[in-house]
Amino acid sequence: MTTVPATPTVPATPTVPATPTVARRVEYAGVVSRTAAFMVDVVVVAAVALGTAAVVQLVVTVVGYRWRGLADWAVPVLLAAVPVLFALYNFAFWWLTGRTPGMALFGLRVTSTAGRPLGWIAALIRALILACFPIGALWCLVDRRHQAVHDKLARTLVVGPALPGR
Amino acid sequence: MADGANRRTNGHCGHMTTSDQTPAPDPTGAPAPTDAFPPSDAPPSDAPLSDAPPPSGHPVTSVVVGAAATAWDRLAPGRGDRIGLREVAVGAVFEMEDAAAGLLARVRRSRSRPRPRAVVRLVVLADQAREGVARLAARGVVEQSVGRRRAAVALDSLMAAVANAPVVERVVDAQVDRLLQPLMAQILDDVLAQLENEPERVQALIRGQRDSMISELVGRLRQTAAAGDTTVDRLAARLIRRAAEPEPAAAPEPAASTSG
Repeated sequence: MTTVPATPTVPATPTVPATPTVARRVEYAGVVSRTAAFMVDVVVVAAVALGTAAVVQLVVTVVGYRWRGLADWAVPVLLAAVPVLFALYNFAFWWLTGRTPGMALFGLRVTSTAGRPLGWIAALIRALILACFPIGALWCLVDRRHQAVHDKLARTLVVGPALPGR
Repeated sequence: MADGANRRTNGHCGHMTTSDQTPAPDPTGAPAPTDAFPPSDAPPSDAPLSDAPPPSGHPVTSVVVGAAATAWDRLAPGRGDRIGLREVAVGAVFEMEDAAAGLLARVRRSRSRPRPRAVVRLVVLADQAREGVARLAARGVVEQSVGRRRAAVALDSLMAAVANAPVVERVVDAQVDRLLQPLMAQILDDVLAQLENEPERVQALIRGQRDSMISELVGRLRQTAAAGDTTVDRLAARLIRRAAEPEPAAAPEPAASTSG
C-alpha cells in the first residue's frame, strides 16, 4: 500500500476578492417604530402645509382686497390637499433615498422584497395606497414580515437596523 | 536652765524605770498609755512641760534621748527653757517610732489572721483588675465621645470665626487682587488668542459634543421604539396564536453603506 503525499493545491488563477459585502441580519420594522416614523412625517408635512397656507394668507393680506377671493379658496384647497402632499412627500423620499426623514430618525428603510432599493413605480404605488387607504397599515400587526397592505401590493419591506439585544 | 533640762531628763529616765510595766501595744497601732506617768490632765510639776503630750512607752529611745540631751546641755550651756529645734527633733523621733510600732503591729496582726488560698486571692485580684479595666474603659468611652463632640463644636466655631474674620477677608481680597485677577486676565487673553489662531480645534470639539449628544438621543429613541415593537409583536402573537417569529431574511448590504 503506497501513500501519496498530499500536495498543496495551488489555484490556477488568483482569486479576485469580490466586492466586500456583509450579510447583515436585518430586522423587520415593528408597528411602534413605523407608527412613530409615520407621525414624524405627518408632523413635517402638516408643518409645511400650514406654513404654506400661512404664507399665502399673509401675501393676500399684504397685496390687498383684489386677491381676497384667491385666499378664500386657496387655503382650503391647500389644506384639503394635505394627503396628496403627503403622498408626494413619501414618493419622493422613498424613490430617491429609500426612507423618509421620520424613518431615518428611527433607522428604518424601505426595500423591495428582494432587498433592492425601490423603483419609482413601487414607490408611487406604495405612496398612493398609503395616502388613500391608510388603515391598511394595520395589517402589519398580524403579518409575519410586518408587511402592510401597501407593502403587499408594492412588494416592499420595511426593515430596521439590527439593534443590540434584539 | 539646767534644772529644767534635768527634770526633763529625769522624767524620761523615770519612764525608763517603768518600761517593764508597759502593757502590750494596742492592736490598732496607737501607743498605749502607761501608768508610770501622770495623765495629761494632771497638774504638771513644771511649767515648760505642762503642754507636752503624755510620754509613750519607748524606754530605750527615752534613755538615748535623755543622755543625748544631758550631754548637749553640758557642752552648750545657757540655752534656757525655750522650746527649739531640738525638741522638735525629739518629738519627730518618737512619732517615727510610734509609726514604726503601729506598722509592725499591723504586720503581725495580718500574719496572725487566716490567709486565704493563693488561687482565691489571685481570682479576687483578677476580678478586681477586670472591674477596674471595665470601669476605665467605660469612662474612656464616655470621655472620648464627649471629647469628640467638644472638639467638633470647637473646630466648627473656630472655622467659622476664622472664615468670618475681617482680617482673613482682607487678606484674601488682597491676595485675589494681587494674584488671581492678573492671572485670570492673562489666561483669558491666551485662550482668546489661541481660539483666534486655531478655531478648528474648538469647532471640532463643539461639533463632537453635539454629534455625541444627538447620537445618544437618537439611539435611545430607537431602542425605546424597538422595545415597543417587541412588546406589540408578542402581544399580537398571543392574540392570534401565532407559533413563533419567522427568521428574518439576510439582506446583503455593502459594508460602507450606512444603515441609519
